[in-house]
Amino acid sequence: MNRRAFLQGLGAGCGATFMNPIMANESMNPLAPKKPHHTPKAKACIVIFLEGGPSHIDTFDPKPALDKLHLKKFETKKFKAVTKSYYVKSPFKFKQHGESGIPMAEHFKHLGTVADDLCLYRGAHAESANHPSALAHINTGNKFSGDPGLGAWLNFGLGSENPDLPGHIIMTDKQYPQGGANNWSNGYLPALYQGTPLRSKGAPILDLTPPSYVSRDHQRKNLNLLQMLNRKDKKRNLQNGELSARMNNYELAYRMQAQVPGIIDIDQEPQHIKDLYGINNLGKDKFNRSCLLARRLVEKGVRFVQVYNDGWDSHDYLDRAHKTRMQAVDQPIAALIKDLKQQGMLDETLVFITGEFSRTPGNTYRGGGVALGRDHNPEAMSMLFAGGGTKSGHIIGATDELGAKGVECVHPIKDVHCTILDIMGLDDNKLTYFHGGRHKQLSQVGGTVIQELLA
Amino acid sequence: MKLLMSIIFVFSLVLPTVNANEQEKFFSLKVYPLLKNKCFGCHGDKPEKLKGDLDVSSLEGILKGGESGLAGLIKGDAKNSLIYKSILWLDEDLEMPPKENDRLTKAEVSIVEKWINTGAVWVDESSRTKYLEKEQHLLETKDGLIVKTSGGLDESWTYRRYKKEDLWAYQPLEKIETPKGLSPIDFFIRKKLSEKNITPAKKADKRTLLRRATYNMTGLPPTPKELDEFLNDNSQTAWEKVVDRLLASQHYGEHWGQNWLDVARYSDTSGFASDWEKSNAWRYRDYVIRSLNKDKPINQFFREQIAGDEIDPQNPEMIVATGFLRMGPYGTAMIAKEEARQQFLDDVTNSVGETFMAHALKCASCHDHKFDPIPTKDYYSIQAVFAATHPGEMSAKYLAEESQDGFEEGRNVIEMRLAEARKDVKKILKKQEAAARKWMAERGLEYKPRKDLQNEPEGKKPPRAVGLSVQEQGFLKVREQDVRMYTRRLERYMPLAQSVYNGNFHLVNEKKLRPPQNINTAKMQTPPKTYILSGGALTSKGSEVKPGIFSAVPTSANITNQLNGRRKDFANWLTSDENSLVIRTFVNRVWQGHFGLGIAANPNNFGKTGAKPSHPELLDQLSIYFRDNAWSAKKLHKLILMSEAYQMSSKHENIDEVKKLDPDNKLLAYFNLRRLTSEELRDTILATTGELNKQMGGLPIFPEINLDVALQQRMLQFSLAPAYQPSRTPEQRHRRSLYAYQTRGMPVPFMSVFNKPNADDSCERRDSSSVTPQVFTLFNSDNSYDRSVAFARRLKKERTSVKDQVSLAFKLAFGRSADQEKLSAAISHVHDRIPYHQKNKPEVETYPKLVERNCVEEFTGETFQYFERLDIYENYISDKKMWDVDPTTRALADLCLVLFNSNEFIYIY
Repeated sequence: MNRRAFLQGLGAGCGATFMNPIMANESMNPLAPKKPHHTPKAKACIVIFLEGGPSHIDTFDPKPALDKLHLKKFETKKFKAVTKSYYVKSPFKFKQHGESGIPMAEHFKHLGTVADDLCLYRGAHAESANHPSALAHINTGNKFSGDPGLGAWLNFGLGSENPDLPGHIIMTDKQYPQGGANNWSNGYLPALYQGTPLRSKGAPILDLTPPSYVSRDHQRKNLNLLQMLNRKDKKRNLQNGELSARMNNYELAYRMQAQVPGIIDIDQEPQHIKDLYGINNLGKDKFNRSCLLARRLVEKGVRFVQVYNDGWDSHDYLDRAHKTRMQAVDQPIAALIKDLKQQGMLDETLVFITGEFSRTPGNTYRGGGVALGRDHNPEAMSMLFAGGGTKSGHIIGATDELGAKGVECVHPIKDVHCTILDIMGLDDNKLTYFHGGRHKQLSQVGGTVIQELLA
Repeated sequence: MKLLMSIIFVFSLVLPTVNANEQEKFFSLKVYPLLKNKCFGCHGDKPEKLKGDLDVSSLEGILKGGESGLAGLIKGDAKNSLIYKSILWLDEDLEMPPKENDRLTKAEVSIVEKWINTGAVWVDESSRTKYLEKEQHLLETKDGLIVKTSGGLDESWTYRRYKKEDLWAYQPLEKIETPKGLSPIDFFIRKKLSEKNITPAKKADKRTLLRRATYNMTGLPPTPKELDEFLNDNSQTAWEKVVDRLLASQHYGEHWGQNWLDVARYSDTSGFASDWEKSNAWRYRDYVIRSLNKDKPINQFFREQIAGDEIDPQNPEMIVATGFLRMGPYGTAMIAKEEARQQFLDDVTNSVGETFMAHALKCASCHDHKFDPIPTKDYYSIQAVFAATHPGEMSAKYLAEESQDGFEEGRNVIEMRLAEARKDVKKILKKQEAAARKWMAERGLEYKPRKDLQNEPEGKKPPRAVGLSVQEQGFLKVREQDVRMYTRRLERYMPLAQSVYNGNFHLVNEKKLRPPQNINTAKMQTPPKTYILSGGALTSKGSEVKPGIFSAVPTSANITNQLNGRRKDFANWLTSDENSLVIRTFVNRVWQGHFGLGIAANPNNFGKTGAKPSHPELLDQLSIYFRDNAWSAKKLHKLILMSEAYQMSSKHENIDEVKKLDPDNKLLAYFNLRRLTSEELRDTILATTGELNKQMGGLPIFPEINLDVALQQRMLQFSLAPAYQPSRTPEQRHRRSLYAYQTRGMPVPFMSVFNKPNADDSCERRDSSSVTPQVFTLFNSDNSYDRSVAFARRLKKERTSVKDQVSLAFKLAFGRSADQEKLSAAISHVHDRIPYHQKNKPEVETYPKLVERNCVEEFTGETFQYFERLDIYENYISDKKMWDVDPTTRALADLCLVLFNSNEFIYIY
């Protein structure tokens, strides 16, 4: 079955869509595909979120100058507070990959093979050095949680390619990140744009299916009675579209509970694809599975998928901690990019790999003694882009000699947001929602598209 | 160009000189400020910052044009002028200013059009100033009014003009006499309707009315007994009796308290990195309920929340009341203490503005307000009112009215968890110490604890995690955080209140908010100074400001500049009878609470960008009534409930025609039906099953929530949050939703999917959109099945035949008997489902007593596991489940589930 036929099959016969508040009229459907502001380069966006603050210095932005300074003391000052620190050299060897020569730490073995499909950006400048604020900032554009997430904005601006699936899907790692569900909030946008966490155990969507002792036929019988009561009640209240919207939602939910499990069943993929992602069924492959699932979802028309990988907060034992993290994400991320490319989807899909901030060239003295790790650093970050018309095989921007600060092509997070919107065919200044007395936008007060990142 | 020049020449010859002056004046007053405001940011003074190489700050610059090489304007020909075309947003590549927020209004566009078409006259600064100064003496011109404020950052803001209709909220209340014997509400509603030739809907039937009013005043459905009483009361005063009964109900304070808590942003935790518990927040919640139930004058209610501790420091009630100032998110982790402090001040300033004065003040923190008469100076003057205010958990003895129910059981549980966490920590530390001793001994060093070895280099002291496996390292960190967490939670049982105290600046760590030791020293008691922060940045202090007020409200106030008493003075100004803005704000919230939509539809925004009032005179008459009745909320409620407008049917005979004339029913031709809120829905289900425990107040309760979510791992700073464990007994769990524990970092899915707002933002009005996940949670969840079983058991207990059970089910769920068709469909459904249940017996499921945790240990990057004990389930009293009851009860439960999901159950007509 091709994708179009699949979509029709799922949505046929009824105007109902996932989370759709108004059914009566197709044109009023807030999730119907909307015309973008300009020709989009990508239709879908996958964000791989390396949570905790991956160190650019130890992954994609080698700083050999630190070797000589290793363990040398220095001081920094903010307001009246002085912080005493010492430099830490990277424990990793680096190798350049592909024609572009993008340097990667030695533990990125697979990722090197797709180096020429990547655009490495070294100029991003976040604001907060605090996990939840920084997470909120990069996910919602606002350091203080409560604003809509990027996925909510994209669905609000573009509608859905598959009205029967949530258009904003989140796959967390072992736990919810700091700030929890606020990271994929609909904020002040209507509730239907809220991110839906896809669960790896049990029902993939919370309460998607009734308890196990309720058969599908039994559920149908209950539903029939419900709809009969509702129909009769509606006769008394003809003027209200809300009532019929609710009735349609029950039918949609009934269909979804039969169809969604199949959509997210990665066992339907051929073995060589599962091998590509390193899916081993040994219980330690959740991130691998999530990456493959991200591709499947995007293929089915999901607009925005975010996959978390946590544990990057290496204040100590950088060597062990970052090594394990790199090894864990190396193959699945490379596989995702290869897979998208093989399926001819990379052109239309933007893959964005980032953390909430990066790490400092040194570490602070804490409780005495030296710990070979790094502090939080919002002023120098490495981000990776692939697909969606980004400048593949390029390194854009640069940090200073020690990796403390971005110095070339430096842009705040809001510019990264504007760039992503631009790739998706949206103009940040026009993608607004009137709330609390002003037209709110993802960038808060406007930003610029980072043209250097675009091919 | 020659041609153009001659046209202008002719033009100026023909026009009399006075018109030349008019044009100069027009340019100085209208055109130049507009260009300055909208264009100079990118096309202004600094050549290196010019965008598109275009300079609009001089006529030469405009004529020269930008990158395109074309002139920016052609004198006398707006249509073909580039800048005119760009402000029209006709061409996608030429839209100026580029932001929706800055886009020119139609009126502004026509200013530019007129200016170009009349020859684009430009005069220098001295001439502009001359025209401006002359104009500033005129308070009102055809361009609008100047509003007297404390003054903007520059003169052009100070003397800018506002349209009269945008200033409605600040005007004094205006009394209009209305006919005797008719409610002023109905007078104004009818007046507007008849202007549009709309007839109001008929009166709703008694059953509908009672259900509507009971929900409206208590958040609960009427009982069958209450319904019978009302239906059988044919006296003239039947309705008034109902109204008085509802106003006297203790549930009134609970339901309307929830409305207030939405605005105040109530939560039991602080959000940010650690989501620390606000362990005594419930006392503020109960204070709100109590105050409303007593019909405490609202001005007093407001004063107490802002300045209770200054008004009467000896009265615990007053300490608890200031919990309002503590409702925002609060976190100090990983930010400079000055920034943390400023965040608190910004939060309080904005929230006071939104809550009491229907103006978010935040916009004015960086610049004078773009649309409303709020100068930045006001923002920092109001902030100065709170400059001495610090968040703290303050001693406040329990009042006799405050429930201490469950203290002992709760404290025992927390103490047990704390002891266990301490034990685990001790055990691991002991192992570490042994390894450290061994390590030192092997090197011939004398053992010292790690804290005494801070200055020793590595190699001279054991590695940090010496002797510990990854497993133990990770577990240690989790348990150390548990110790902090449970220590904090013990504060639930201490006579403390989330309150404030006055003092000087110092770091207030989020973990333990107490006044510092030296609070009474001179150092901590100097009156603080407040400065305007340019662009909102802490690093750029501007001029000093004194504590002050919202100066556009035509009142005056004298606010002390001392350390103590600032808030009290401010609160007195805020709640004076002259403060029309504050009175209107509250009255409008009450109206919205009854009709679903405020007279002004944005209760948190009475500024230019908020919706204008649909019935401004009515809002004023209600405000006067409220003020003259000593700010009594209950008297206002009664006036509204007794009106015909409130008692109208939600059905209208000519609905199609009415919809054409008034699509959103702003004029109230019929009553707006509404969906139950998340809290009402849960409470109603419990009331219907007979499980609802109506006990009021006290410690928050923990209802069962979706088990996956309860056990979902959630990251906090340093560690994982402990699992959500429900209250142990059904009686504890089945209390009203208002009493449920609210966690900022973990919204309860059932609640948020039915639009319970996020506590980080003040909620002026609940959304009630209908979305598919509502179906999942209401039709599929374990909770819905549990409630259905409870309802079925109640029906079986109270009636013997299936027919009678079904008929009672409808009566309890909908407050009316079902018609024959529905009844027989339901009865045959139950009979039809019995064989299914006889064949399919649900498997018994049990609650987990342990949950496995997996986490990445950040030092090693490796995963560690541990088991968290779920102690509550060791002695848990479960609700009856589907597997506990027989097939006929299960079949009846199917019907109950269907009823809970039906439109008639979830909508109020």
